Amino acid sequence: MSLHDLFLTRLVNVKKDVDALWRNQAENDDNSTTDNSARSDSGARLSIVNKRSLLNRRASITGRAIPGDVLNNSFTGGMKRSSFSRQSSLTSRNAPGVDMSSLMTKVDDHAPPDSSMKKLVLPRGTRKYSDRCWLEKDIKTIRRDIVSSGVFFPKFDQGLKSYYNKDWDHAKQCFELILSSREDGPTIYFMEQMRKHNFVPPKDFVGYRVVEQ
Amino acid sequence: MSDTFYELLDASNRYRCRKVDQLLLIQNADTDVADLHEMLDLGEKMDIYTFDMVCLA
Repeated sequence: MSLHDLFLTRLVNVKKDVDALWRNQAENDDNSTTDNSARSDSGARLSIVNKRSLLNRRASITGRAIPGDVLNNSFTGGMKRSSFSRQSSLTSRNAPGVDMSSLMTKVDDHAPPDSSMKKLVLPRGTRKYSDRCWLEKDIKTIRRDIVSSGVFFPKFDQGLKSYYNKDWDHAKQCFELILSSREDGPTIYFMEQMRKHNFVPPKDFVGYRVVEQ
Repeated sequence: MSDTFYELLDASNRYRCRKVDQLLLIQNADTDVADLHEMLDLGEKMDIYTFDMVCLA
């Protein structure tokens, strides 16, 4: 995988994570009436779409453009949409030819407010743990690719056991299978460790990573 | 998270965690120990777990 592909993969992954936070206006309204304390403060949240529309309406009246920073910094609660602007600038510098508009969630500032408009709903406050949280749409979305195939956890476990049992051929197979479908930090780490020793365990390998205290 | 913390979790949450490493914690004075088996006896073993929440694919 080239650096460019890796960059695109990361970019798309971030988009997926952020996408989980966007909700349709109607959907959010439904949730606010049924969800627990974390969403009970929905009235305190700022509708980004509405705020953007308001600022743009002002701009059309005064004939002045609203700088992007004003829009980004006008969000309340200390939460800024700076990740989008950072990614946009990174992309334009490092990955020419990438159409950011296809990767970012589009918000039509000029569309009339209706039930199809989307709001960025950021988590706020504390929330008591409940087993039911695993059934929520957001959690399912961000864990879908990890648990859906049923391969990732068992393969990594097999690879790790083989690695510590000095069966590096099998460990390599397991880790390569994982890396063929996803980027995973621990898997990359163990592949690098084996590569350093040409995929042959050293004689003084104790089956543990030795850490001096 | 350490294995100590991991073992505090109930089974329904443990299966969502992934063991990613196993460490042998040794004192500086023990680093001169030449025998690997002796080092294994002297060292404190610790498993490290992670909880994957990021969409990677």
